[in-house]
Amino acid sequence: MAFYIGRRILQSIPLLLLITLLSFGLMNLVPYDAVDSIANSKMTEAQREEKREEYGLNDPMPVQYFRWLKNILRGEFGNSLLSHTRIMDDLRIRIPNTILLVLPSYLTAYFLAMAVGLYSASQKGKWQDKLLDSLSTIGLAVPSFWIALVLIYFFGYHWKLFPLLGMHTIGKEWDILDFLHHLFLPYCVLVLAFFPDLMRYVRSSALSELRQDYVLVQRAFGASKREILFHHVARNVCLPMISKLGMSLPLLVTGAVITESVFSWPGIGLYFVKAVDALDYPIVMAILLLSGTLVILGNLLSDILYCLIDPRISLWKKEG
Amino acid sequence: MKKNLAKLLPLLLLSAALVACGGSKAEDKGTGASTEKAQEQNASSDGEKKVEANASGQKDSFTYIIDGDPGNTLNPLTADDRYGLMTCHAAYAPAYHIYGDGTVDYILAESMTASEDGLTLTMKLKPDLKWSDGEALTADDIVFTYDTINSLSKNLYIGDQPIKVEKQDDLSVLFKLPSVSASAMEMLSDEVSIIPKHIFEGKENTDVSLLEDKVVGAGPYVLEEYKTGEYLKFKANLNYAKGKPYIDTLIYRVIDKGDTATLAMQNGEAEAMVLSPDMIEPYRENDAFTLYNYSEGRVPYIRLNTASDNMQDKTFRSGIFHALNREEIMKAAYGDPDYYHLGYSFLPYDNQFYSEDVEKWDQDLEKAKEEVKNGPKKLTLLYPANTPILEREALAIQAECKAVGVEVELASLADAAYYKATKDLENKDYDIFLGGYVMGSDPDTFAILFSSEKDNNMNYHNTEIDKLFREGNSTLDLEKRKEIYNKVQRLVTEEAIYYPLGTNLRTLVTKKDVDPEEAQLVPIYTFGDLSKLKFK
Repeated sequence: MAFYIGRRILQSIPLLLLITLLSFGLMNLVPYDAVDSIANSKMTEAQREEKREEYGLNDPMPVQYFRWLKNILRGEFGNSLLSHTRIMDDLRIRIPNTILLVLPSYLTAYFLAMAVGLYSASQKGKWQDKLLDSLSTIGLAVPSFWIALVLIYFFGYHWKLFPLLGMHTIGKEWDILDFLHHLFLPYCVLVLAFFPDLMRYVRSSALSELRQDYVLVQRAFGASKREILFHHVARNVCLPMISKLGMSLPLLVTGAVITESVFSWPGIGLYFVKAVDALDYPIVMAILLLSGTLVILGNLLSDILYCLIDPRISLWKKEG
Repeated sequence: MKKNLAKLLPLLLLSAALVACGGSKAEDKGTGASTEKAQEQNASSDGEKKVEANASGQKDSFTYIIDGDPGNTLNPLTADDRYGLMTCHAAYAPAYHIYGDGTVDYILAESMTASEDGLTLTMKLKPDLKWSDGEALTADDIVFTYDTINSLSKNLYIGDQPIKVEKQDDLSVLFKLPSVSASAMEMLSDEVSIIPKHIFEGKENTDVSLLEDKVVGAGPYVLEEYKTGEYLKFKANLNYAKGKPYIDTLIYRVIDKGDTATLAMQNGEAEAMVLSPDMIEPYRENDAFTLYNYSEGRVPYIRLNTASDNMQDKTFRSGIFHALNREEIMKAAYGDPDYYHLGYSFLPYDNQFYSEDVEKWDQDLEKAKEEVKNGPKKLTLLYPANTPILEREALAIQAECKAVGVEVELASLADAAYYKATKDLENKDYDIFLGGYVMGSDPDTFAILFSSEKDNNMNYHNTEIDKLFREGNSTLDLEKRKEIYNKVQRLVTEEAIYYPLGTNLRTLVTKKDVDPEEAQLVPIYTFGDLSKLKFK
């Protein structure tokens, strides 16, 4: 197993290189650069040229790429072109903030979706199913920033039950209860954002499972509906859901861009969007590299979980 | 499967616990927050009570909302973004600051005098100045700062030569200019944070890590804490050259989203923020807040692209200008006349050199029709994307041009691409550009826009204008300079290339009990002298 994991990780290196090369190339295709994005009318052409030289933007693209690569291999993400801040410092603080928000929300939505999706499939065609289906359609159609603003307006502004924004009250950075109090609204928004899609996914896989022969056989043996659903169908629905879980790993970095911005949550989302806007390539590349790595790791994780869950699949036997 | 469920169970429980915890806590805190709010409402309903509370020093914290984060590294010498500059403005001090109307506010310096030949400026420092860490601030620090700037950039160059800086004694510094320059005084003040030699000497660069380093400056406040993406918290600098600030704690709170900021403001979580015109509504005729409209010296303008084949003919260009209605365009863009001033020159209306003795291009549709008759019938107008104000300007211009038979197609580009296109003086893709600029208070700082000997951002080729700008900067007599710049303003408008719309105002909203008058409202930093910011 360790061998298999090792091999998969090694295989992912060329893929990551390709991802970075492609993103770097695409960013360089744009006919303007980071200096244009900060230029103002007071800045002279000479000053802008000075800055381009300083940032190394005048070098040919391969030179710039390899310089960046060399830094990464040394474990250095470098500095933001525009604010000169150390990217590593920003990521070190912002990524955990995003994870603290996305992880609990995603897991809640995930398990809630499993239960509700199965229930909905079991009630196929009845009013409960129709109601859940319509609710999830509405959930999919409503943009999360709108939900966020509505929640903030009622719970934060009108009834004053929750703080409007941020992660902490200033001066209470280590107060866990204060943190949870701040977490609650963005957490709810994200659960509502993640849930409908997952729920529909569970429902449709459960429905296709219910049509399988083994369900008929179980019924013939006199198994109760409940037994069939939670004992047999649930297991099979778990399989595609596991791959969903693996694939959602990059959400830990980029999963809450809009929600973060509405709640002024000091996470990675807005930081990334602003960097893309300003063509601040060291930041964009660092985050792309991270989320690319997470996609690959997510895939690997799904594969491993697959084997653990489904006795029919065995990776290491194949290796032998 | 069971095994896996068993593994996942703790996670499930954890998330359930989080939900429960969040919920119950929310209720506890909720009442707390409500009580606070109730107190606040009581306070604001009883104005007198509040004044008393302030006098006894109870309210000693001021929160100002900013919509971006300065980042974890601050460079007091090279910062050029709004938030970096605002942080510098609180933590560092310049020798002096020149307000838009030309008045000089001496901070570390006591005076700045020019020699008779205009080639030497002498800066006298106030006695007994101290850095926030208690070390003495002397002429050595001033020389160190300007020398470092000269080693980094050509910002303090006149022509190709740097301004040389020499220490005369502990309290005086000489600035030797390579040639006479009327704008030198402004060059030396403009956004130059004086930095401590004892901290930066021998260091590779002047970067300060807001996460790790202690920020030592001579500004009104000392940075106490920086939380990435959340806030910057400052404490009053007891050693500040102009005396201890009235308010003890200053907080810059980062809120990116306008709607959230508006709710936070209305919820009493902040004392002040700057508003864009479409955010003003909730504060109008609202007793809890005061609105201040002030000039940031920003001049919105229309430029006809003289590189484009369509714009070669001056009569056609003048026809386009005669088709425009300045007031209508500004009203479309900014809504209410409270938020703009009409203007006819490239200088903002509150600049001491501003003159209206220029070609105003008042709307004259008959004349316009006549003038555009033989010209092209289709033009392209470029403006930066995601700027509703400029979009509304563009739509007004489009309608006005249509009235004289010229179709205008609107094109918008992302900021950086827009900037690149406007800077490219040979670009023929667009016929009309929309933009705006904030320059300095000295009219020479505008030379970069119109002088073909400089960057020539507006693409002018008029040797008379070039000559006048040169003369203006080498003349020290105020009356003579006024005469020269009056002429420049006239010539610039007569070319029918550039059409100033006026000056748009910046709107600041504060809670009713904030008194920003003594602090003065200024561009970029909002509050000129942070130490004089106070509660009523």
